[in-house]
Amino acid sequence: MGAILEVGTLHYVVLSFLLFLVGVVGIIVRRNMIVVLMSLELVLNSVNLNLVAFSYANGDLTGQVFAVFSIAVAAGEAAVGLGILVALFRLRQTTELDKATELSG
Amino acid sequence: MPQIPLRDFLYLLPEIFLLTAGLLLLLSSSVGRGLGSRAATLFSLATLAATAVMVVWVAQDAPPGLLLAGMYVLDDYALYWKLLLLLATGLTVVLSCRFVEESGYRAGEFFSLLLTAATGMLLMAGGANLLSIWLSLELMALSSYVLAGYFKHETRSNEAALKYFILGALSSGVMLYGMSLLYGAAGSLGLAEIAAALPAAARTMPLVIGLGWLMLAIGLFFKVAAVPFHVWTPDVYVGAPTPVTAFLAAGSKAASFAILVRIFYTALPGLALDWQIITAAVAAVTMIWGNLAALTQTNVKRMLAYSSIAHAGYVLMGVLAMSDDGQWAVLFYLLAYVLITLGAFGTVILLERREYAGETYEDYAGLARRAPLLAAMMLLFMLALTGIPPTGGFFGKIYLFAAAVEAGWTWVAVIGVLTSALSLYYYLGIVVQMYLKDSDDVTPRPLEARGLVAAIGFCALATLLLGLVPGPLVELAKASVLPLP
Repeated sequence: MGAILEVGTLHYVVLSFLLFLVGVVGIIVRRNMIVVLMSLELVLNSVNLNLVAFSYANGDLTGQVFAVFSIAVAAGEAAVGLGILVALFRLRQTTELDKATELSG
Repeated sequence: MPQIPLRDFLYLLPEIFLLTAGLLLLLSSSVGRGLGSRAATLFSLATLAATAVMVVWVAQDAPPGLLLAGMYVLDDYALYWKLLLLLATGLTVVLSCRFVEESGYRAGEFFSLLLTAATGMLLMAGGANLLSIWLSLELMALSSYVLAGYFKHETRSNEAALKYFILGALSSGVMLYGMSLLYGAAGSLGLAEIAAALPAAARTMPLVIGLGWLMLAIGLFFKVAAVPFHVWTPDVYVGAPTPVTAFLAAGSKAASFAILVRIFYTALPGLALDWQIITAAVAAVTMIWGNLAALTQTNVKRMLAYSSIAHAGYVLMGVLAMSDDGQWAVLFYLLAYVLITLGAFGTVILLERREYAGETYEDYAGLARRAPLLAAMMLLFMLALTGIPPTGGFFGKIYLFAAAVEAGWTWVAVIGVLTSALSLYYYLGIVVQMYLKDSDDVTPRPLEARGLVAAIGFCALATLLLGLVPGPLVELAKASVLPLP
């Protein structure tokens, strides 16, 4: 009982994997670009959680450094994504991805 | 934490210079009406040439081993890729000049994005740590997303950017998750350290390691557009402005192969058999599906997209050989492929006008009569893509097949040969249009875009040269391979 209540690396990794799955399913299933962007953030944050947990477990700071870089890149990625979204909205007055498709996928 | 000597940053001079020039170009386009297309082209070309000189100069007295606290390496392998990628970017710049000018969009921003993407690609070539590799990959990818959507008032371009962004970000996330798992298992992000820690870690936590490298590989396969991670490719290639398509098909793919080979060969040799089996399956499916799907296309850009998917399969064949021969075959082939692809897309650009002419097969009807030289060069590119002598594509494919057979992957090579034969059908579709069909439009098309024609001519000449005297480049590629464990 005591062992399972003690939060260890495995707990973090399982949580991060669940977050990752929620994010990936969100990107694939949701049809609204804004929700897709939110799901993307979930994926990147699940990675950060992983990195920090492993960094703590390994007693090595590189993982946390990586997480800081990844947060910065996530911000850049969101900016580019929103920029493309704004262009989409100006063209078609929608953020729904289904209405933005004309090339046969 | 190891101290980073200031001297190490000097070795980054080419990349710093390239990035600074790109940012200056960006800044200049917010002053007044910005640079014209020609001025921006000349500026970018001069920058790329200067960067190439610096790359060679810096490599002359580069110390062996890792720089910048293990983030970066200046070996012959990196040097080969950097020059290749600079060449690809330079040709793309020339291909873009007229196109951007006619589009009416600001030229400075377009070329500045090309330069930042090139910076990312150069850094990818020298990355020796998962952190630096991922950051440079993102620099290239983020620039490419914007480039794909550069014609923001055109729905096709916007849709291309949207699809490329969503799927690219997803693949980047998957790759990053794989990196985090590898970091957890190996305790380090350096490629060499991961390789050293892998055998022990594979015994204690096989699941983490297995999932980690698989997710990393999926991200890489996505970037090189291998089946089944290719779904973005056709739509993005058709929707993006054609010079950007050329850049993605040539530069982005080559840079992704540079890191794919480095990661597989440096970090994962301990798992060689595992990744070789997966890569063999991916290569086989990629060659089969890429070529089959290309057969039914009516849009030339879409056909070239599927052809670029198929070619990723051929290159993967060289990667999975896990030998020196496989490696230099990959290096040789990608140079030939970059030249051929840029030449073929250049021809599409030359024919392309506002109404998307040049994209259907019928637009090529009677081209041999209208523009015999252009038709002859397109014929050469199509033969080279098929792998028919005397072109660089022929030797490239021979070396790849030979490396695969030598390493015992005969069945993959057989699929490669068979699908190459199949590809003749759709490549010759264009040739038939050019030489055997007549069109109503018999006015000879003046080749007014001299820079563009010169770039296509350069690609054609180089393709032919590689087919006639492949020796020197083979020697260069052989000298540039990564040391095998």
